[in-house]
Amino acid sequence: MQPSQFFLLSCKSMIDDSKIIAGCKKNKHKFQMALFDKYAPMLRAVCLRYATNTADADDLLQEGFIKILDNISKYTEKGSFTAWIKKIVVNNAINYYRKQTKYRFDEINENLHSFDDDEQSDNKIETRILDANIDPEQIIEIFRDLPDGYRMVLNLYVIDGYSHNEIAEKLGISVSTSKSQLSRARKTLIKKTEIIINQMQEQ
Amino acid sequence: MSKNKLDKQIRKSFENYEAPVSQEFKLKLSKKITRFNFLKFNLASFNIFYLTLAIIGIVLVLSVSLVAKNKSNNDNSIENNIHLLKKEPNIKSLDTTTKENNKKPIIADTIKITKKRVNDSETNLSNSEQTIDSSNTTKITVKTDSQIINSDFINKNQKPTNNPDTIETQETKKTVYDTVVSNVNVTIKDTVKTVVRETIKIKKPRKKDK
Repeated sequence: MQPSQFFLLSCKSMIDDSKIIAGCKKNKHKFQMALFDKYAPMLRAVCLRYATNTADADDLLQEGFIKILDNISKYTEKGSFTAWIKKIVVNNAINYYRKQTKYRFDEINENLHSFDDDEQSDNKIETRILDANIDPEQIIEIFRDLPDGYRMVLNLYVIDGYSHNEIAEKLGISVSTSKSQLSRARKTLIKKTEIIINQMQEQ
Repeated sequence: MSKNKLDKQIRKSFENYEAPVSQEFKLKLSKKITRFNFLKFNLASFNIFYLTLAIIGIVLVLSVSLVAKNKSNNDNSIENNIHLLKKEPNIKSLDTTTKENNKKPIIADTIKITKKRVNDSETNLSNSEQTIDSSNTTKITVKTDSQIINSDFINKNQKPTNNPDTIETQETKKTVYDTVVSNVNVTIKDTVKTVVRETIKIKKPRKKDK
């Protein structure tokens, strides 16, 4: 990294969050772009997890960022700003996919115990996954291949830490559907990861 | 391995993950933010609300100036009308801006002619019984008032001629009332309405038997 680039980066990071927020509340373009520069990569990662492709992820990011700017005056600076903006982007992604007509959950109450039984048989594979140190981008690729319902529940439950009740409320599904979707998603994820690990070992 | 371990593994891999944003996307978003700021109300910067106010102001100024201009034009036209009416002593307060404008000289001429004829006939009758305007008396006795006026319109340039034969015949008749009725309703725009009604009755003295 060149010294000038380092200086610029350090200058950007030196701008305090509170100053950026205050500037954004006054609709100052300079501060809005500073906010974007600071948080866009993190928010884009969130969008990539929820989106089916990169173009959709960029759309989600753009829409989400405008929503952040629109609602920034409501931010009271009590909680974590990062968590607040992340929540806006996640909610935007959920709404985006809820609007899609193709977005459907399989409303079948599955026998969850059968997944628990299968779990034991997957133990070997999971151990291999843990040892493999798979790249996040590879996991994102696997996520993209998952059906919308699986991906949403997996993201919300495993990564963003929502409970099944919250997921059911947000997505407008029953708690049992949320649980069944998660079990199916896990199973699919493990299988797809196994394929990637096999490919890596072959190389 | 429990489910929690797998979840932890996935969570860990995404923990510090950041996806870089392209410069092109940044420019696109910058433009969108500019548009967003323009559409959002803010006292500190120029936006659509200020623009709307400016447009409303311009429209108001233009409309007020146009109204004022029209008003001044109307005033001028009224003044012109008054000026023209002053030139016509017989017809006061006729508006020249109306479509009656074209009829105005005709009406004025008609009234003048009829008045003149009446005066002439009066004087002629008083001076000499044989100097009655024959054409005038003939028309008056035979035709109705409106017909008289219409005929006056048509024959306004014709000068009355003395026809001794007609006079002879008229003289043999018993009584001749020379009645000229000018009944012209003139409707005028701009709240000026003038009714010219003039009735002149002239009684011709009975001719003494020789």
